[in-house]
Amino acid sequence: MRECVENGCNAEGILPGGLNVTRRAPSLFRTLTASAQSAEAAAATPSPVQAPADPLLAMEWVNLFALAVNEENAAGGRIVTAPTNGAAGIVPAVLHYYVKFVPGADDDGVVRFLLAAAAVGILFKTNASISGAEVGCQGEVGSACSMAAAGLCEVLGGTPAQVENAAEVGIEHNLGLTCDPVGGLVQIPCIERNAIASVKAINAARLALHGDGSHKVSLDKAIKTMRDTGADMKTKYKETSRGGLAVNVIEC
Amino acid sequence: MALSVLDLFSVGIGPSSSHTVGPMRAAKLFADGLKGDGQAAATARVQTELFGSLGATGRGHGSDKAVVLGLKGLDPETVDTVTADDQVAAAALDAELHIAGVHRVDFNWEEDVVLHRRKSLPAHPNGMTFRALDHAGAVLSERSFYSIGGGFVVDGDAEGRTRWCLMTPCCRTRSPRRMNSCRSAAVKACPSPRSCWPTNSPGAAKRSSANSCWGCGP
Repeated sequence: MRECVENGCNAEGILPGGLNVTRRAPSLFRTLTASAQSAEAAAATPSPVQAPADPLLAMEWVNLFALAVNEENAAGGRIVTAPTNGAAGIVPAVLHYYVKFVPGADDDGVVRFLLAAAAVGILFKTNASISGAEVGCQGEVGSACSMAAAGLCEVLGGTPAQVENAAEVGIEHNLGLTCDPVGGLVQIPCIERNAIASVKAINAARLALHGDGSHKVSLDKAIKTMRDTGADMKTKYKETSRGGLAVNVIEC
Repeated sequence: MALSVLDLFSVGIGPSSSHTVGPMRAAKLFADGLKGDGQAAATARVQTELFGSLGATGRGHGSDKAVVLGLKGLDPETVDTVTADDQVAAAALDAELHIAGVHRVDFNWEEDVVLHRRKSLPAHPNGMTFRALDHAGAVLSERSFYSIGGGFVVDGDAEGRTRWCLMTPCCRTRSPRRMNSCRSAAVKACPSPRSCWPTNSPGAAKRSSANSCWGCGP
């Protein structure tokens, strides 16, 4: 996963397939690294007037990690399913967030993150589906968002109840998400969607940590709902590029 | 079937686990099967058909290329991502393929890898069928696989016969309540439900009794 983020941050160019989507990760990487360096420099030199650090900079780094992975995926590069390729950016992005921004992050935490995320993923795979062709994007990005939320909540000290709560929040607001890839490519809306969902996952983990783990919609119910919704979804919204964005975005 | 963490987080190749990694694994399973059964030597041609969602978005997801790489015996975890496209282009240009990396057959890109845009195998939207033919055109081996997401591949015959395990007679109803109770009955009775979904494919209805419509899948 780490290699994939690195590769994605350094590979410039246009993604294959004919949509002419430019890879965004490298330039975002340069921008964020530069502002990190100037912030460090500013912090080092005392000055009466200091521009406040942008509190949402971490969010932009999360975007970067996710974009890097999914652009690498779209280019046919080496990838780790998490649980699928289309949603492969989310777990690594939130994991990189943990490693880079959470004080006290260590390898042990990385392992616990991945185990908690996988436990949730196994629930999704066993009781519903992780296939966009079966249940739409809910099953891919939705599952991954839920997995990442659980992983992060676990390493931020969440109790099992809070981790379950985080996982549920991670899927609840992805219910109904369709799979309508433009041009049949795993680029639009897929790449950016991973960035958005990564931030959603972090939000879910943090929200859950403010509660005590009790909530009205259980993860089991949410997973079942995702499955039922997917079963009811028209095939044109399930990875066939016959509906949604795929038919509304005209390729020039 | 117990799932491992390493099944969920598996190393592969972009752009799609269900449309690239899965088909490559399935093709490799078929090619290795031919080699294992001793049928590789008699094989003159291998044809692939991709159905449903694989057929509809296969070109964009590289399913056709993935299948060629898998038939050559390559696997998603170790295939060289940098030269993968070139290897496929070479196979198409030279009109030849080395099944499981050992046995050379003639290969026609247009005819031997067919993507059906609107035809689906009944058991799952990502179905594919591989066929090995001898010099006379007789079928030596024909196997179907389903790429069920995340790179997972399951076996199944071309009509999905092995997949149906329960049909409940009630689905011509329009009442949502009756539909729901039908579905619950189907889920309860299915010996190994990993996903149950409504089927409106004519093949499935025929196989069942009268008005059934809920089937269980892998």
